[in-house]
Amino acid sequence: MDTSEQYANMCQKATGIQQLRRMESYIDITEKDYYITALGSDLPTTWLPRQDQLQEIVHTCCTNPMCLLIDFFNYCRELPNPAPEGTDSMEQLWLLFTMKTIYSKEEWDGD
Amino acid sequence: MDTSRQYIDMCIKAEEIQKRWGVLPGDYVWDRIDLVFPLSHNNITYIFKDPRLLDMIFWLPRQDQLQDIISENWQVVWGDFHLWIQDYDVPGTTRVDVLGLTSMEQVWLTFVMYELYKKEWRTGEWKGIQ
Repeated sequence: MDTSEQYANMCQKATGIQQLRRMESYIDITEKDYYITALGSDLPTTWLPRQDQLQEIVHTCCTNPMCLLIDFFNYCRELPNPAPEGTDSMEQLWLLFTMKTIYSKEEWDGD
Repeated sequence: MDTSRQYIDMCIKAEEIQKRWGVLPGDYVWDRIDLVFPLSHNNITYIFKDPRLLDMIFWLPRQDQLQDIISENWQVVWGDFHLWIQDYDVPGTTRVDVLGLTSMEQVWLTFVMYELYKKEWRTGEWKGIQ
């Protein structure tokens, strides 16, 4: 699971994704989900979604994983090989794909 | 996260994967009373006090954990996975459909079992590929 500063920054700026999480409760956050918590605070500030959680957000119409994979492969095919410069993990790649698919952020640079 | 009966069965029977488990908080497990839950810090404390508890639970690995089993270099993992998905000879269908895989966790587990142990999920068992 990517818990790097880069992924945390990307997630923090993906406000649409963060809002999705805020609609749910914070019950068992420490066991089930990854969050960044600011120093000196008990409250989580930024949710770091796992791959399956991003897939759940983006994959709403079809239960066959192949549908999702084909869309993801097509997305990756359009990218510089094998991934955008500076992308360091599968979580980051899935976040970029989710932002493009759901929020039409074509060349999302984190803003 | 896939907590379906099929994924639980696939994980229970993937003994090679179970042996690789380094128990951590947040890991999803299935226990013999048929509950699926992420391990809490308290659970881990109990396990360390009584390791026999490990005989009663099975690890349901997440996608990132399955990917880490293959390599720490995610680009290598992704490249190999991409080739494996595409390398299927039967026209009009896919490996995912033929094997009846219904989630990304199942697809990744199947890839890891193929890549490392040359096994495939057939009729409810991991079987060596001829």
